[in-house]
Amino acid sequence: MPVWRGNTYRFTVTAATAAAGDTYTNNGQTFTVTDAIAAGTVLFCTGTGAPTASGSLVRSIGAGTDPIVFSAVTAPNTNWGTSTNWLTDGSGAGVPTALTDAVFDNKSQNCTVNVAGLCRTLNFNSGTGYANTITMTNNIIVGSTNAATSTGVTLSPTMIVGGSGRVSTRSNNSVTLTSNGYVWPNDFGIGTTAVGVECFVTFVGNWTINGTLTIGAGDARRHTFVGAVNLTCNGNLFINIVGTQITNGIRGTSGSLTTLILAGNTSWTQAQPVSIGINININAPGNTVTIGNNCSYGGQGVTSVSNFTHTAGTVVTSGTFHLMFFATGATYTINLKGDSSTSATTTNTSGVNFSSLSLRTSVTSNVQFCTLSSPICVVNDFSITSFSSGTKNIAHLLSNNAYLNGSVTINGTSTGGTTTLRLQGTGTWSENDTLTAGVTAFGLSNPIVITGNYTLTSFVGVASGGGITYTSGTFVLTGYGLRVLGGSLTGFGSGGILIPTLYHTTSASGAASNARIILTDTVPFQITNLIYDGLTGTRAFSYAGNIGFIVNNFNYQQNSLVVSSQFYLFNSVTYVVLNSFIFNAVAIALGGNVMSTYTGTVPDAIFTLAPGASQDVFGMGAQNINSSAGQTIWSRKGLLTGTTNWQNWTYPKTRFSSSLG
Amino acid sequence: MATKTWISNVASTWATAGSWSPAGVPAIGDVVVFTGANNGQCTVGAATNSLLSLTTTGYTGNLIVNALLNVGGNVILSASNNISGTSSINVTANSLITSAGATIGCRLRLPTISTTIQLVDSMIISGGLTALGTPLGSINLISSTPTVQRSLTLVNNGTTDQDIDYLNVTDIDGSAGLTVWTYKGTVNNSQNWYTMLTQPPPVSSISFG
Repeated sequence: MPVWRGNTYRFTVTAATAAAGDTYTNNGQTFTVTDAIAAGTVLFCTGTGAPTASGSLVRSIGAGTDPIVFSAVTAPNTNWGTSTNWLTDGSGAGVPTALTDAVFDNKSQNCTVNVAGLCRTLNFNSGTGYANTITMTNNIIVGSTNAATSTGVTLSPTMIVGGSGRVSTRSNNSVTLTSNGYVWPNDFGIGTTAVGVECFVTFVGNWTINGTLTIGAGDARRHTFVGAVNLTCNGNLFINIVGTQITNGIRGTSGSLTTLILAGNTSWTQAQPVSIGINININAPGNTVTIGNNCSYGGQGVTSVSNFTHTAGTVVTSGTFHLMFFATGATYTINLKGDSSTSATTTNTSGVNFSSLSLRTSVTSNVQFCTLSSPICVVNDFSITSFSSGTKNIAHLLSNNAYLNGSVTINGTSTGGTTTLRLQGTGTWSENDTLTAGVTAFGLSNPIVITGNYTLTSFVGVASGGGITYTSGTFVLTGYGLRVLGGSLTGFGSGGILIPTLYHTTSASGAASNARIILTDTVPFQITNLIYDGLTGTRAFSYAGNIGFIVNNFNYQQNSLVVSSQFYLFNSVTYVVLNSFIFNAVAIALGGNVMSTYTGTVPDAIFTLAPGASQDVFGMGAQNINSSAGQTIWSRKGLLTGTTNWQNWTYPKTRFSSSLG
Repeated sequence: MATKTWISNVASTWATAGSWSPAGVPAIGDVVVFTGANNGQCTVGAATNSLLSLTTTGYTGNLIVNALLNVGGNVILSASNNISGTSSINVTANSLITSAGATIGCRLRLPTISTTIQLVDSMIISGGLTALGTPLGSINLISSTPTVQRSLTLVNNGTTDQDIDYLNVTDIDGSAGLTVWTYKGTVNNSQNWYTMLTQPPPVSSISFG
């Protein structure tokens, strides 16, 4: 390993022996041997002044050769790129290369990186540590070849760095970064030299970087950080990792999780949203952290304790921030103390308000959750997005509240989210148009509370267990409507919210299945078209809650042979159909396909078919349904039990007993 | 596909292998033939395999259909047949039915949507008619010669039943028997067939002839 001996006198001597610390004189100056030699021909010495061009070094202290005859001497210079400034020792000679180390010790003098530096490892802490100045006129790249399987940077607590050059480390195999408590003042790159496919970065001791910290080489790569230490970024942060897969990014290590602290007037930018599994803590009291477009957190490589937290400092956001979701990732936490105000801006002095927030998904088998330990605020748009266009993947937000002040765009689904989404601003709400009959992977299971002014620009879905509560503001569904797998709808009737079309969808059977809609209000829900789908097997639809609906057109049409699908109305609640009542099974199975009360017994549910409405009932029966307030309902081949004003419709026994068709 | 011929001259069951030539109960897709040469009574006691066709020309024995006699193709009967039973000749696919003067004393059942049953000649049914169209698809009952009506008579004997859904009827004359009602089917160029809609009309619109 070449050891830095620049800025010393390099004597070319006749075979001589000397010990480190021995002193010699020449030309009235004193020279101190830096490195022992034994019958050697190169002798490095520090000196009080210049020697003669050739001559003899006369011993003052020590037991070495006396005198030492030298034929030439190199004048001191501080240039990294001067071959004779490096003491050959171990890995090689001359200026360090990608396969040799650059070592600085307590005897190393000042150094100027006058050329682009290169080395396998960069060690400033040999001996008792470098205590002089390295002037970073140029950058140093550490580990630029895949042939070196282990590289690293070790700082010295007593070193001094001048200039503005950057140290860059490579992006494959093992990289060990040891700070020894020294604060690196310049830019620093981790994995910024593109070699190999993945790197494991082990941190020894806390790191503080005052320059720009860059992670990644601008390509698709995984970086695994190891070490339960703080990586404090007082300068800017640039995560320069790209790729169309969520597998790229920065992975944390369970049990040895690194925390990246944004502590300065830090600008956090990213080339693309990628997975980030280490902790990120914004702790910048008195400073302002700026989060740019496409920054991200979560996804692959998080641990069960990974978290993105705001502790102190003002945060300004722009563009879209992405929370990442992956198929096998652990649950991670964000604690960003978002503003609950409807007038929130992208500047928050006590937390983080996202400008726009995307829940970015990877595959349909996503099971990853993100827990909110404090509210989040989205000033502009909230969305679920996907790495793969056209696929509807899953993202789950758990707990707390999300205060949404702009539009909502769903290109995915949340089947297990519990965070209350509060639509309190002004905007549109849409979901991609893959909502098709019988498809159950849609919508949001999160409770949704509307207090703002929202307009649907497509059908939107409520996944099982979710629900929409209208409290105030405007909610315009014109031309669209809701697709509900199951959940609760509250306040639409009293709020005067007309649902143009409500698709009630199911994929299961049973009264308490996931296809139960709970209607709660003081005024019946108004629905123009109530359409049932998912009727491709034995299914059940049910209603509960304290209120019913008034529907213009009711369309229940089985799509395949079903023998025991059931349709439950809640006991004592009134449901009305005004214009058209289609209630058709495919096959006749007496007793199987039936409209009944939720309990299957009294008290009856009240189902009223308004006078003048059309009816088309085939193969569907009724049980404990009271339709006395409207016209008689005629069921072709349905089983009627405990009904009022229902009749079976059989063929006339004589030609003249009824109508002429 | 094999041709199975009824060879029993004594009362036997469909499921008796020795009553057939070649021996063996007719399998799925077999052609089944009854001739006038062997007129032993045949009782269908269990649902048969679905036949490619059924021909009973000249057979004078009793064909007692107490379980579904499944035919996935053409049916050719003759006036000499004595067909009875509590179950059905169950025509499960497109079919040409030739009655040749036979009275079908069991039920004729048409269970498969989107199939077309063609009557080659007049048909008399005394056991009942079932058609199981559904909202997903209708069944067509037509004359084998377009525009030339075929007579289909549901015998008015007090027991002949009808259970007809989504059956579209074309060129069928039912005037010699019971009025026939098809629930949500269509009726074209046919006599004594009527469409039964989804509910009775208001009383004021009922006419009495």
